[in-house]
Amino acid sequence: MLLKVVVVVLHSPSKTIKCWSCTQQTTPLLFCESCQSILDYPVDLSLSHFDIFKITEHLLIDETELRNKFYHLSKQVHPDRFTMAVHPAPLYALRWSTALNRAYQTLKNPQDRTHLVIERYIGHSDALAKAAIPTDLAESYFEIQDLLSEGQVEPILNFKKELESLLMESQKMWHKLAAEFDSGFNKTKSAEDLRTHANREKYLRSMLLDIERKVNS
Amino acid sequence: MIVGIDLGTTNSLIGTLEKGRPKLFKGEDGSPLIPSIIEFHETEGTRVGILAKKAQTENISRTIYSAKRFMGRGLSDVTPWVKLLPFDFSHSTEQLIRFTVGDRSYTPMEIGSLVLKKLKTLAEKETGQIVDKAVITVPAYFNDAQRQATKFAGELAGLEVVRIVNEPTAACLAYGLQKKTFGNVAVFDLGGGTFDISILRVADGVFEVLATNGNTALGGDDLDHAIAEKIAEKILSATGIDPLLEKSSQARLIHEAEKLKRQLSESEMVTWTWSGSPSLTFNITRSEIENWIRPIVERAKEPCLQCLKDANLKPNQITDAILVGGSTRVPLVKKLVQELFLREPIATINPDEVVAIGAAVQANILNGQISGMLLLDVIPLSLGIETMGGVVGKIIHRNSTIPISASETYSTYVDGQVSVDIHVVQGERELVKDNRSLSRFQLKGLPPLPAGIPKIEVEFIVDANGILNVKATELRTATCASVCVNPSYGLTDTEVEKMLFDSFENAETDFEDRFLIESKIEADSLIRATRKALLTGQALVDSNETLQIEKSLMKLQEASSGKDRKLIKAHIDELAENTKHMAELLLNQAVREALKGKNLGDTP
Repeated sequence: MLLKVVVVVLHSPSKTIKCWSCTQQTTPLLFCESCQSILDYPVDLSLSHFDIFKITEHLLIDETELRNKFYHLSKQVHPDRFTMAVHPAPLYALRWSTALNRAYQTLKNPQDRTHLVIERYIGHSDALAKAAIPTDLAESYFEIQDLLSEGQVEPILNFKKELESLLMESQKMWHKLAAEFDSGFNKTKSAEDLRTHANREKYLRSMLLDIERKVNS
Repeated sequence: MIVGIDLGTTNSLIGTLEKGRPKLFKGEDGSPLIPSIIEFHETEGTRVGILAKKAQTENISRTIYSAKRFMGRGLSDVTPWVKLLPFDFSHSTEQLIRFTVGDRSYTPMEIGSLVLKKLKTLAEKETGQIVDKAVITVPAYFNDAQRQATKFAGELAGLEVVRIVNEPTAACLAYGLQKKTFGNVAVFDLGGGTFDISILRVADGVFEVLATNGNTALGGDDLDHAIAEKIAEKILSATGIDPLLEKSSQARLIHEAEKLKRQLSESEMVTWTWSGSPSLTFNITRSEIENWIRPIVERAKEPCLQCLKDANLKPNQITDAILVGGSTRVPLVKKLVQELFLREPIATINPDEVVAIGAAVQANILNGQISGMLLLDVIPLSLGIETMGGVVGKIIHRNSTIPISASETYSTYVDGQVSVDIHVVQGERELVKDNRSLSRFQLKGLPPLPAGIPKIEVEFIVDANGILNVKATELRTATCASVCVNPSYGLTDTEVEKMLFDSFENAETDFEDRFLIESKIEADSLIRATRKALLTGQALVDSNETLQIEKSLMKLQEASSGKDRKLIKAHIDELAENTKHMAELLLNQAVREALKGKNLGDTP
């Protein structure tokens, strides 16, 4: 996989806050610059999942690197590190850790990552759920429903192979679109392409799932 | 002092780290395996552990064991085992299980708390220190209700449960302490009553649980029961008498089956005698019992395959397979693990002890003694709410790293609806009826608006113990309702109070030193509280009063370093009496502070 991670310094927020512990002014991110106390999770900054890891908003990311960052940050903010600390440090740690876990869970998975950027650039991905079946798959879709109801094993298995190779192609396609999104300027256009692609892939997977269920039973 | 506790179906253990090395506390027989058995003796009080072991076959009607199987469950959940356990159950309306012993009945939580108290006492006796905090392990596949029940049992036993940890994860930490494992580790844990499989990635001191799966109704006991049923058949066909019909021979049969399982793990064949009238002798081979238990062992397979799938790993990517639980000594079980993970499983730390050691490790991570290790655990089952048509709307998916929160927004279905019922469920199935119902609560006081207009945000928050809090808010009016799901498995506050009271009343009375320790704890916390109160309270009372308090403080401190429990108690009462006035003044001041700058209309 071709991977690229650019570490950027977070757009350092212009606003500073007063540290709850030492009362000095500090940037509101993670730890107080003066006394190193953990700060509250800054809800009003609306940090994106990418911001939390201080990485650029890319779909092709180095997943090992992401994991290393996750481990590193977890060691800093996990509530287990704050069980002996005074209030409100354990609460702040809990909030950071919760946000970090949520961000990692989304970013580590290419599909969830894709949905994240689609949602950000062209709105709620509910639209995805209602999207119609892609025309090139429509015929296969109805054919497979027929085959499944007839219950003939051999044609079903052949169909499965065909679908699996389509899925492989589709995944390659994702890489291409993801790279376009990462480097392109027209993020909205890329997000639309990604949505069409994700919708198609969803149908492919659901057909494969139908077959699997049938074969297993 | 903080300890790690493995509260098991068959045996329980308690341990700590001493200079960085694991230490388990031993029972009266010198073994760290404390049988999770309680005997409520007619005249001699409550006996726990090895002291109650004999009663399992001799005082059947007054002995309870395997209570963990019933933790946080309703009677309908446990029907398959009821016939094989010789207990009397009381039926109560709220579906809470109670074991009847004589004219009293006990919940599984109370039984658990008696075992925990016993463990606490053993550790206190050996160290002379007060044990007040504990990390307690539970099967990874325990649901929210079962976790809450375990935590509650800890509280009943006078322990602050600082963390509930999953058993396989704990086992992995025990190996981690010795730096014995790294990479992708599969932990195969076949306990007395539960089966868990967890896959972790271990790197840079971080233990990340990738996926977990299991079956809370599959354990070593089931192997024993399968063997018991088969030898019962043998006895029946030889004598015409069914030994399963009578409770006394039933218990003995299970005991014999367990012995056979152990013996045939070591040797290929044993000669077995059933001492009845008439007594019988059979030769039983390993391959024979393997045929009996195979269907049960095979039930562990599916969860393992699912776990690999969820962890997104192939069997050849597993670097270590760890065996946990006494039943993993059974050769057939080892063979299954080897086949599943394509490598010889390891058991270099005693599989009976490894979980308790791991709990002690986590206890030391939490109190800051160990800084190079961190555990990232997951929730085992998805959490969601009931939506239209009895369908589950999943909010947090299984295998999510905890702590975690997530929210979804819903609306109303009927015009003018002023309240919504929120039904919280746990499980993987699509329909509510196939999952476990955790809690129902109501969000009231919605503005009467057309259907679909109100915006109701339901937020799920799972803490580092894997315990769920749910909050529902109507966003337009900020109407809010929240619930800590099932704080004690459907018990009311009065019931909880009564249980706490009963648990004290029924405590073992033969440990004078246990009371001494408790008096010392009380004295200790009173001294600390008084010192703290004096800081601000001093200014509110005259110097004569302060002097009196100081005097009582000194007396109590002196008494509490001695061994006279009654003297300590007397000085506790004296100090409490002397600080009464100051406490009142402090309270008044606090109320004034809280009301400062507020209109009278703001007061609740």
